[in-house]
Amino acid sequence: MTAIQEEAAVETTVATKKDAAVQSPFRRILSDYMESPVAVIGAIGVILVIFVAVIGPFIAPTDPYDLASVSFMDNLLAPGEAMANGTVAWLGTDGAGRDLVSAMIYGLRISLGVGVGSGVIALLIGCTLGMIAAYFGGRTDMIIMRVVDMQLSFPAILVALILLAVVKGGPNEPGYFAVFKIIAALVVVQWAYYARTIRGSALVERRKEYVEAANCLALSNTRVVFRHLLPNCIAPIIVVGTMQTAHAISLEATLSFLGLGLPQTEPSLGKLISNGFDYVMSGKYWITVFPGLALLMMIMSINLVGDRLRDVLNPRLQK
Amino acid sequence: MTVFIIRRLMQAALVVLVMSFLVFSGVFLVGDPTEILVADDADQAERAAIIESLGLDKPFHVQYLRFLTKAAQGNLGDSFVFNEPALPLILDRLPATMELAVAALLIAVVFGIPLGVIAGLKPEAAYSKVIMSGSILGFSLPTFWVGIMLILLFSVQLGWLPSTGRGDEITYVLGFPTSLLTLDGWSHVLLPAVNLALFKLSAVTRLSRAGTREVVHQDYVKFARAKGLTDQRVIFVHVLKNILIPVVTVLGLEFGGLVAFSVVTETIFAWPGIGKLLIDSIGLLDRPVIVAYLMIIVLLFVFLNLLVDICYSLLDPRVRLQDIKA
Repeated sequence: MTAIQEEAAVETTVATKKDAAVQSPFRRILSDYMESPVAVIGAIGVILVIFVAVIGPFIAPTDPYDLASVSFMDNLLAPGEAMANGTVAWLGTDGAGRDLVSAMIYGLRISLGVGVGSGVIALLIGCTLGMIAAYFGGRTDMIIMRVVDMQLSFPAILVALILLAVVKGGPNEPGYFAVFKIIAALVVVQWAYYARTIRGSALVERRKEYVEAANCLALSNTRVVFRHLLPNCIAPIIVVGTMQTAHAISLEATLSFLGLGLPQTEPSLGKLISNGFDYVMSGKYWITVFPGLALLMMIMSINLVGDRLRDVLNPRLQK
Repeated sequence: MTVFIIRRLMQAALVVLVMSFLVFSGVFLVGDPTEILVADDADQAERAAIIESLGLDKPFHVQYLRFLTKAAQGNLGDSFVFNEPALPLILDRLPATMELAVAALLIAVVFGIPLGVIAGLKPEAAYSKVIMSGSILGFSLPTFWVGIMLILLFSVQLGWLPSTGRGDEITYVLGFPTSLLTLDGWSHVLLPAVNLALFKLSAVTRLSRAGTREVVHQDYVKFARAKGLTDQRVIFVHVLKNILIPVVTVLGLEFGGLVAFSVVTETIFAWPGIGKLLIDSIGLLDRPVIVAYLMIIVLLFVFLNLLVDICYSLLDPRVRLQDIKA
């Protein structure tokens, strides 16, 4: 081996080592992601929202649903005025005298919880059915995809509205039941997107050699699907998942605004805005403006992250 | 083409039938309209009489078959609340919704396509990035909240535009009532239309951008440039024509979405269309109106899908209708 060859060989090992450090898929995706400043802001927004939602009750100035601490005398205070117990309501109070900052923090928890919860359930159901359709093909595939096509030809809001209209309960219905219903409606609306997405990528993956190899080893269907096929279909699901979560949060807010979503006892951000709508004409802007801004920030952050992830995870766009 | 349309219409009939069954059974199974219809102080006999007169005492399949027979004759039942046939009740309000949806669609197209083309021609330019970020904002803004903000700003604070209704100056054109012929009508429709358009505006912008980026690299655009055509001619004739294909498809489908989403906008702006009627009917458990609304919406969607496919083949001669999976 000549000196030059040796040098080249050393260089290659160094280069491979360095590349290996940078090129682990997670690192690569992360560094790609960081290239867009707007997307970084989005990610910070998402982290902030999750943080506030998790530690909400500890940082909220008051407990807006503790009837003992809410005084009707405090109702409709403008932002910055002090409440009867001395706490300053930085963003004002609503029609029932609740501090808006606290109400928003609790509302954020509910909005995020319903959005993410329904998203996860829809993801599980949708992916299972989409995978079944792709893996077994034939008649099973046709039936599942027909249902998906039919559902996707109608706008999500319409499907959700009808479902909730059909199962609409009376005023005395317990709160948790209403929460359950809205999550169910959001799951029904979303599963088809996941099913279609995963079927699409699974159909492509399934023709590749590694699946053939796994089949030749006589591995069980479940093992091939879960250990081999699924991990390779995960990227598009992450993208659709982020976008769908944002969509679900927005949809829940809209339905709550229309009076078909969450009840007064579980006020999400949408419900807060809906309550504030009654005061818009008298110029009491804060009850609608601030919860709306919080909602917008949450949805926008998730969408920014999703938009960037789509570019970063798309193999066709990789350098 | 004829074969294609006939096949599609047959499929449409099947879809409508399936939907009618799903909706009818859903509405039938849950929610008891007698709670609302029967006065609290009615005795058992009165109660039974009302239930019988509405046919609510019959078993499910009898009620459904009766509904189907009547529906085939154009009778979707009488509204429990208004005591009028549900179908005309909805058809009376349909023009208002259509007016709103068309106005919103116009706004989305007139602003969305140019913005998308501008952003697509120079994807790296700063203004293109602003347009794209703006479109994400448009996607993220909850429609109902934007509606309230528009009212707050333009009606309450500035007092420029009215916040409710479609105005009193309704004129009839070819038998259809419209308020778009007067200044007053336009002032009423402007806020709701902008509100409804915002989401679609983002979609059109993104689609046009994606289309433009793809089309500018095609050989025919390079050839047109090589021929020495002006930028204007290349953009307006060669690029625009070709990006219209996906835009028209999506817009056709999205028009149905606009009609569906008008439920939200109509509720906020008290626009007297079918969306507001639906929300009111849901609140009052007015079954026949809910079912009739759905039947009409399903028909509308099926019709729109068909129309889109036909437009598609007209715009792009490469598309043969037989090839589209019917």
